[in-house]
Amino acid sequence: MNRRHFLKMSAATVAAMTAAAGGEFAGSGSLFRPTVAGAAIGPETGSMGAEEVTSVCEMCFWRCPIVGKVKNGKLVKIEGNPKSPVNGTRVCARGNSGVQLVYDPDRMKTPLKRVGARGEGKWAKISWDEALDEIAHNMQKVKKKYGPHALAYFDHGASAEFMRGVFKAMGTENFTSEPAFYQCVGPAALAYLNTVGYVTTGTRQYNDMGHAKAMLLVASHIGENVHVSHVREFIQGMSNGAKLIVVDPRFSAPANKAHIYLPIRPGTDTALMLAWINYVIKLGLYDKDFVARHCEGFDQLKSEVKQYTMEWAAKICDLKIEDMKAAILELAKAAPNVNIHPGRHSTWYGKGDVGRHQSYAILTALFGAVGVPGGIYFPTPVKTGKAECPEPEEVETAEADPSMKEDSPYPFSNIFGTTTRDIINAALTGKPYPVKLLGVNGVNIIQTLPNPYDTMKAIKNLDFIFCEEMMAGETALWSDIILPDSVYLERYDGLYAYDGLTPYLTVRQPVVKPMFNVKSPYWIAQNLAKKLNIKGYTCKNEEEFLNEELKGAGLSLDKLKSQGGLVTYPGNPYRDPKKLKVGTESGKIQLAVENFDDEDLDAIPKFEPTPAPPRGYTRLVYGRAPMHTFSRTMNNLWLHNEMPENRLWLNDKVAARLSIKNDEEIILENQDGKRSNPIKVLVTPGIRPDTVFMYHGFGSKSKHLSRAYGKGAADGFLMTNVVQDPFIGADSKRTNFVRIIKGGKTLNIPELVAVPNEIPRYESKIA
Amino acid sequence: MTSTHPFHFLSTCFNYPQEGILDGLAEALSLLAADVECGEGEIHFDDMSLVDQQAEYVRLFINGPGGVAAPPYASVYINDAGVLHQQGYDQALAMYRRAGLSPVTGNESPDHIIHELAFIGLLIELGDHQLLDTFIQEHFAVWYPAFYDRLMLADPKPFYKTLAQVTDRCLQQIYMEVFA
Repeated sequence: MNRRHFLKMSAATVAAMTAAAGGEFAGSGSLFRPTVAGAAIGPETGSMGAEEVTSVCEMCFWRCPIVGKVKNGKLVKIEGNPKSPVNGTRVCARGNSGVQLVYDPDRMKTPLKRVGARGEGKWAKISWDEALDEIAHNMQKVKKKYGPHALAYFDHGASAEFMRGVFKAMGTENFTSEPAFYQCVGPAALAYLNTVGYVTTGTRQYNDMGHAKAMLLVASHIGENVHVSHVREFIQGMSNGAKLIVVDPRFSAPANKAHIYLPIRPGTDTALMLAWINYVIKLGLYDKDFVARHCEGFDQLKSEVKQYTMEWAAKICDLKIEDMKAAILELAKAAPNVNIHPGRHSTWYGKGDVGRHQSYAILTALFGAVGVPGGIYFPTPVKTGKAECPEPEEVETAEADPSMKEDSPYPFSNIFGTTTRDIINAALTGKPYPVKLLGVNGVNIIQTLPNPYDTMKAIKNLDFIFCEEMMAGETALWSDIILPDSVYLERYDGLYAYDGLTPYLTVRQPVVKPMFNVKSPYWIAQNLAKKLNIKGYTCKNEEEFLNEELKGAGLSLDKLKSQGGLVTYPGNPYRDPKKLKVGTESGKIQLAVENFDDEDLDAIPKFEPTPAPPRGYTRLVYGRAPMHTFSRTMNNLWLHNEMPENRLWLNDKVAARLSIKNDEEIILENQDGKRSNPIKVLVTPGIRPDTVFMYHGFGSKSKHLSRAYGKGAADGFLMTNVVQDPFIGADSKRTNFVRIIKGGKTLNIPELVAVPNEIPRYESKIA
Repeated sequence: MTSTHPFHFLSTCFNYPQEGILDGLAEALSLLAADVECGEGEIHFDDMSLVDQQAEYVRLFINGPGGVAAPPYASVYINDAGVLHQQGYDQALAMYRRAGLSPVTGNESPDHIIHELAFIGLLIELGDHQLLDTFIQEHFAVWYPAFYDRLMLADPKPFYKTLAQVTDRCLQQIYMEVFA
């Protein structure tokens, strides 16, 4: 074939084609170059013979050490790092599926600028330079017009801190407003910090399930809520013969393994805990020596919990008194090697969330289960250096007056930052000052914060919003600029020093080269800082500051790599009970927290009932699915295949009364008339008649997520009744009620369990 | 390796629309469409602002409501899973290598349509009909129809509709002229 004869074209066409690209199609002609001689590749399939690169997972915040297997530049498999003392070669379903995050065609590929209305999803591609210019321009403009505190930053994840520094250097007080605290662990963290002097439950949990002789889980659904080492420790404890007590309105995965399962009325956990504490004191089941040596406030505790009898609690909690007694006796028998699990997600009912977790800490202390095998234990810090260069230089900034952070109505909120709800309200109302620009990094605030309707209204009020994301969730859809983050398998981050039972030091490093036009979070913060004339961020790249920090551990990146990417250290988790000193001011465990009393809050938890469902409604609760993380993973191919949608757990007797069959599709309507996407029903005796349950994170409203869009229902979109916890202003999420719409007909939920008079009823505003 | 071959031109058209060359591309594409007897008639970029044209490109090929409408990567279509860097990617790389070529990818994946169309152009220029036959029959023609269908399903603006049709027609022409 002669190419001149191929595809007959007119002279005009040839001339036009030539002219169109300036005489030649340089763009396409330069797409190839001759192959370098000797370049060879191995077999394409399988992971045998692949290069192994150690790194750290970020499919959830647990961050297991991993090995990426790479063949011809392509990631083909992820396994656990065999050197890791916590997970070994194991990773969970999500850890495996990191491969699919890298290669998802829905990934954010290049900086995008909104060219339609907010939320419309109309975008143009822009360069990094243009994107950062635009963000810098808007940050300066908003700061000039409204003051520095009009800037706010919401973040989550390993690498969000780099950008935090940019916001801090701009002078705003709203640079640490991590929703993870105010939407999740905050109340629990505060309770333990003030009772035992350290945050027993945060990103890490210092909670020795593997050596416990008995364990108590209050709605913690380990096994559905999967973190590899966490689950392994739980299984280790169970294998060693630990007795398991599970308190949960739903028959969860661990409930299935429980020796005693207490299907409690939702909202009454603190009543049970206080009755148990009273019972333990009354029967002298507590560790008297431990309490005398290491605790303060015992007499006050004893006197205040006297009112909470087992008979009273049985009625309030809708439990059998003999089961309640058997459970607490089982726990007492195992003391001090007893694990009163601190839980993590604690933002349930607003009022009482701190108190509930305080009651876990109190029971732990009464059993002397502090610094002993099976109880809560102490972290072993891993010594590393501190590099200054990935941060901005310290600058003098003006204090806010009024200050949202320091003058907060929630006296303990400023320990963590600025309360999420206050920032949203400031954007909505302009009070105490307007918030006009949001930076969002690694958190989908429209799915994470309850009442997304308010969040969307708040976003509409902003002058500017930008986000850093890997996938375009709802928040990205509403942003003005989207900055595409490199996936955790394509970048360096900070050091990972694990200070749990078996301490280790490891580092995240790129397993494969970044796809598309994405950048690492450090690069983004560093280059935005330059545009804003913020000094600092002097490290050329992540390797420079990692080497600096590793020096403090006598290591370097190369040295660490040569040691399998991870080094271990001896742990020091336990204490001699005679020499125990905790991190509170007095060095003693606070059974009555004076700090709370000083702020006119309860020093000792009280039971304040959360309102019961209005007639015709049932309470909505939620939890985590084993193969998904928050709302982040629903678009991941493998995880989507495992669980493409959530289902509504509905009690079988209620379902029978409503003639609803298993797998039937319904819609939920909440107490304020907000409706869900269609969701299929799981008819089961494994949930109380006054409660329904769904896994969180589904029902995506972002059409940018082709697999996840519209699959299942979003719990957050049914949460419009939000009660602030009085300590830190955390948002409640179990204070919402739903009824069912089937075939267009509204079905009221029959009340099969009577509500005692002591529990008030929530009054719905709609008929 | 530069050329005036239509496959290079088609490759150029699948790039992100930039100011200054749009009218010329539209005119040439209209003429080429007339030559190969397909398309939507004469196309004018004037009908859309540059921003609208760019937003259309982002919607179709980068990120859009409903997910990216028609990801322009072989891997997405050749593998049932619909993800990047799978068999389609491996195949493309292997065939480039057979031609003694390495893709200069910048930020893009080597199985992006711009690379694959340019590669067809290069093979025609090099007269390597055997590899051209293999590349098209075992690779490009395996995925392009599925890509075409997804693109059409997204109701693209006339330029991209015509571009897809012209590409399809040129592919058919090659079949007839080279392999018949």
